[in-house]
Amino acid sequence: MASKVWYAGNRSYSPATSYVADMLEVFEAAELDKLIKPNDVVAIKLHCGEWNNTAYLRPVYARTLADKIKSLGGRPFVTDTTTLNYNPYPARVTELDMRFTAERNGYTSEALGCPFIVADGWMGTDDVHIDLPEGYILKEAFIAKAVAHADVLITLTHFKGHPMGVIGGALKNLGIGAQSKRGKYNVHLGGHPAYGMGATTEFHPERCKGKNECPTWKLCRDCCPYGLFNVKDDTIEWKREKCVGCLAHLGATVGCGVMDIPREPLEGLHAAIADACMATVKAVGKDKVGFINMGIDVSPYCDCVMYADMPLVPHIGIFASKDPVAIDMACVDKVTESEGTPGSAAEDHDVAGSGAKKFENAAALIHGLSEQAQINTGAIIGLGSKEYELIKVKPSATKYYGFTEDTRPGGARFKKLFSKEDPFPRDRFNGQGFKREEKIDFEKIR
Amino acid sequence: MSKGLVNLDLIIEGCRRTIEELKKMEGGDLSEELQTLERMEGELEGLKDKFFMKTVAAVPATKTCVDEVEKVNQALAGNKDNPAALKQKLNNVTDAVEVLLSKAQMRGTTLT
Ligand code: SF4
Ligand code: SF4
Repeated sequence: MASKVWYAGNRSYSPATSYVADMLEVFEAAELDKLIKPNDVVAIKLHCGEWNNTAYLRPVYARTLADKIKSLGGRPFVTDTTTLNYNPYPARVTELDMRFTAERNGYTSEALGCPFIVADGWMGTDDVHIDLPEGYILKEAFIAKAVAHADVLITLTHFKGHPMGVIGGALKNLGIGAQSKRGKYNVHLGGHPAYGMGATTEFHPERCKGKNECPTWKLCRDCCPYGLFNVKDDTIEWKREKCVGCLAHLGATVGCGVMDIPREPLEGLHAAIADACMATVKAVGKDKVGFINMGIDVSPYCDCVMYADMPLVPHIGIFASKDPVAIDMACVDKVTESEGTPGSAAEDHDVAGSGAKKFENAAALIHGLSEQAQINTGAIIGLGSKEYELIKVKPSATKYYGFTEDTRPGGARFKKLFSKEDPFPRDRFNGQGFKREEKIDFEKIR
Repeated sequence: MSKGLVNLDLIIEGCRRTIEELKKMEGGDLSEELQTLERMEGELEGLKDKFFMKTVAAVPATKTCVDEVEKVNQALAGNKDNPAALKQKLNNVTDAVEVLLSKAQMRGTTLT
């Protein structure tokens, strides 16, 4: 059966068509407000952005949602999880680091009007175990405790591309983002005998120049938190049997040719993401999870890289659904349908035309990865449906989307204040207030 | 074979043709450009076993190089360009190859 996906357009021309208003409109149209009962603790799960990433969602979206949830009687908190050491200089591995990065990106309790909580705790081991017999590859998952224990989960996703996942949508926001640190090892198939990083990487130590000739050898020595690399004078040793798949070494060792990443572990990851999303939904309760995809700043790579490239396509709009498979499918289809952004990676890869698959051709790490593998897995395991009905939400003609602290018109609000202290200096230049030319020649400046 | 590697072969082959033609040329003083190209040819060979060449990101970086080398070789074959114009085209090749060599190192790359 087709799932319903509500959608607000990608153009703004009034307060009622701002993306903030669009988000609230699709939230209500999809009846995500009806998930929330008075006193429910509501997790708003989002990606708080990596150090120097600039495409992650502005905090105003989460703030507005938190205010809305409070107006419904709920108790919102905004949340994200600690990461693996996924690059040599990671910025969100512990709660301490993550708070620092999140606050630098604007995710403070002051900005959000509710707490920002690191859902899997200080080390990333605060989690809930979920059995997953229905999983395609994973048979269990470890869900960040603050997410798993929430009464309601609103998944607020920045929809974009992803080098390993190919797409970063609702499935990945929960399938990676709601997993604790040990949950992320599981999803990245760390220790898996057939698809784990240690098992599958093609390792060519003979290509290593070693301490004698490689100017960056110290990074290879120091990148692995388990100390699995030993750089020698003219080669490198790797205790691959002990590798847990945190990905930290990739930023140090893939460039020089010593390592090659095959396709299978990445495709395994896609399946695992859908499984882990399923586990998150199970943990919270199928009828207690809603999804909002913000199809804005559709960067080729995830918010977990330390930069953000030009969007592949112009904004595609704001989506909401109770089905994570359908909402991601709808977003992928919209991106395919869109013309690519001139000068973007879509153009670099000759996939800027409408109808071209942008993510697998311009965002994926290697060739042959499918932008639908997460979605297909989700459909196979019964997490949701690839069939969807896209329902356009019209902007409200009556609702107020202005300043919320005092909704009276400015005249009514400031009459008294301005009578106490008029900011216009009427006592100067015969009431004209300022020293200016009487007339000027406009022709000169046209 | 990945598209990046296919393109890399085309770049190396194109560079070799450029080097041969430049060696045959008299006048125009392009010896510096010739030296740079000879050095780069070796560095391009070294890219063949790099992971970057298998990535999707290698495609546009290598395609630009293929296009720029082709422009130089067309100009050399037609003998149409004056030395200044030819020099500019050669500089475009070396700029494009520099970008490719730099991207191929994947410094600071995050693969998540
Ligand atoms: S693996 Fe590569 S980067 Fe590391 S020391 Fe060897 S040559 Fe240098
Ligand atoms: S070798 Fe394994 S454990 Fe060490 S950094 Fe790499 S992925 Fe992590």
